[in-house]
Amino acid sequence: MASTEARIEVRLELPQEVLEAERLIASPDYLLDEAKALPPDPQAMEARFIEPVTLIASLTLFILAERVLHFALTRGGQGVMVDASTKPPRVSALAGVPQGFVLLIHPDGKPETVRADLLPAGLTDLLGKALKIGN
Amino acid sequence: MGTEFNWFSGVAEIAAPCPPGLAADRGLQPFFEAPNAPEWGAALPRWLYHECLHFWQLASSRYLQLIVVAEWERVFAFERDRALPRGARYAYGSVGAGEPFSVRDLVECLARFWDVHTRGATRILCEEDNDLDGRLALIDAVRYEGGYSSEEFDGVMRSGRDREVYARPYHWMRERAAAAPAVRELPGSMESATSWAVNLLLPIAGFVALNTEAPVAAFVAAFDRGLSPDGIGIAAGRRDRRLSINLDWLDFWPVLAPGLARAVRRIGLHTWLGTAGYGVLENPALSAHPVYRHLTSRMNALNDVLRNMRANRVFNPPRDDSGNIGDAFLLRELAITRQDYWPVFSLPGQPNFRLLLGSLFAPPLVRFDDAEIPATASTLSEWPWPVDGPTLANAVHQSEARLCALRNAEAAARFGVPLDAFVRA
Repeated sequence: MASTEARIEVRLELPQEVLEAERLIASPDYLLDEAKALPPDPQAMEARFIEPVTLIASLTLFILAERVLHFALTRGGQGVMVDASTKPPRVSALAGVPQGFVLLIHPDGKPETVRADLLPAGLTDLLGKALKIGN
Repeated sequence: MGTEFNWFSGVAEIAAPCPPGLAADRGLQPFFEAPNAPEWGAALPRWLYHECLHFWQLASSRYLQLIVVAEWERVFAFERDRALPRGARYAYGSVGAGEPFSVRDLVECLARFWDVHTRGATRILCEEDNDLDGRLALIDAVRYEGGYSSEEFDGVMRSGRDREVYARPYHWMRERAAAAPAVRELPGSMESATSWAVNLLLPIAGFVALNTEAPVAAFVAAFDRGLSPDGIGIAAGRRDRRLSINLDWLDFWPVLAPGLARAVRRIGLHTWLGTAGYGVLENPALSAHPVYRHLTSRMNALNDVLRNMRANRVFNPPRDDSGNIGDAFLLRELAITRQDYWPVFSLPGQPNFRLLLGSLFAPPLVRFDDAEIPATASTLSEWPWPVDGPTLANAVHQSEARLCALRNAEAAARFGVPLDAFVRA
């Protein structure tokens, strides 16, 4: 069982407006760095009034699981990719994962899909194993 | 999370609650009667108008319709074969070799052009706390009542969210226009001459271009043709003395649209504009689409409404010199839509055209955070959709679900998981 207090640093990719909402709940357990703009997706069929951004976040494993589920279940948003094969791990709500799902990419590159209507504790455990922390 | 128009299902997603004034039985009509009314708030009018503009672009662009048709053929193939069909071949968002921007950039630039024009550049700068690096105070001192300066318009067009997408064609046009000898010879400052040339040509060249198989190449050819002495040069000499860009669009559309279409043909591109049968665009392949199969009946309704408008003014024609610029608009609007309705789609910022499109061509479904408005609610009661609201909404929902199944399978293939990995049991 992963420790929910274990901390991790990840690279977040989010729409700017989602990041603005996240900053409102930032805390010592959820630190958000300065964001940098990402180029728009050339394949997107519309500009969507979305400004994609990326930033480093330092947070506990439990908060990571909670935020991942929140992003994946937000109406009109996308699912979330958690790529544990990169350093730092990449957590993207812009990667094109269907809404309601979390795509976990293990350190060896193997993908695993998880439905986002899991309890946060279940995802905490999965993320802890994939990210090899807190065990 | 996002505000967007889904070209394939006909849903305009608006990431905001539905204002109480739109939730009643007239749908979007109150919005299009007064798009800048305070009850809609500051952000929502541009979002809603911008997404509606995309539906109007789709209804009047053979290029965009062909993308939808191609994608629906992929949906049919996926449902039939339960295997991923070949990827679509259109290059909507990528910049072609030797081209200055992508088709998406052009489509978005046009939609932004109209949403800025309708909201008003001065109002937007104020709402965005943008003082144009201190220059706004100088412009304030000389701005005419109710108008906005070309510098303000350009300032908005080149800033704000998604500026990379929106600004690219606008930048390109400004540079091109500023270098054109015919523009350099226009009276007034270079800044205002350049801005006027861009503003006059963009909606007409954009409309022509989106009705070819290669919109960016067509746009470049059409825009360059418009910048010639017998394009912009003649237009400048014949401008109405009121110097209103709205009057310019209406006065010059009948000359510029066929002229720019000829320039497009000269580079070997096909366009239906100016050919026999001009006025019939409805794509037969769209008849298989659960929602867009109703487009033909909406076009017929638009034809009827325009005919009625003309009939109602036979004995009371609007006067050009009445002192009311609305009369001057209406006089020209009735005249240029006598042959066909395409100027309505090419110039959706004209107040009467906007009102017509907003009621007859509301997006099939507008989805707010807390409400959905099917287009049947927004239409004029004399020209109803051929189906009722629940039936239309259901057709849109079905389209979304079918498209979503294909998208989910594509995502699964991209990430290397089984095709049904993103299917909910």
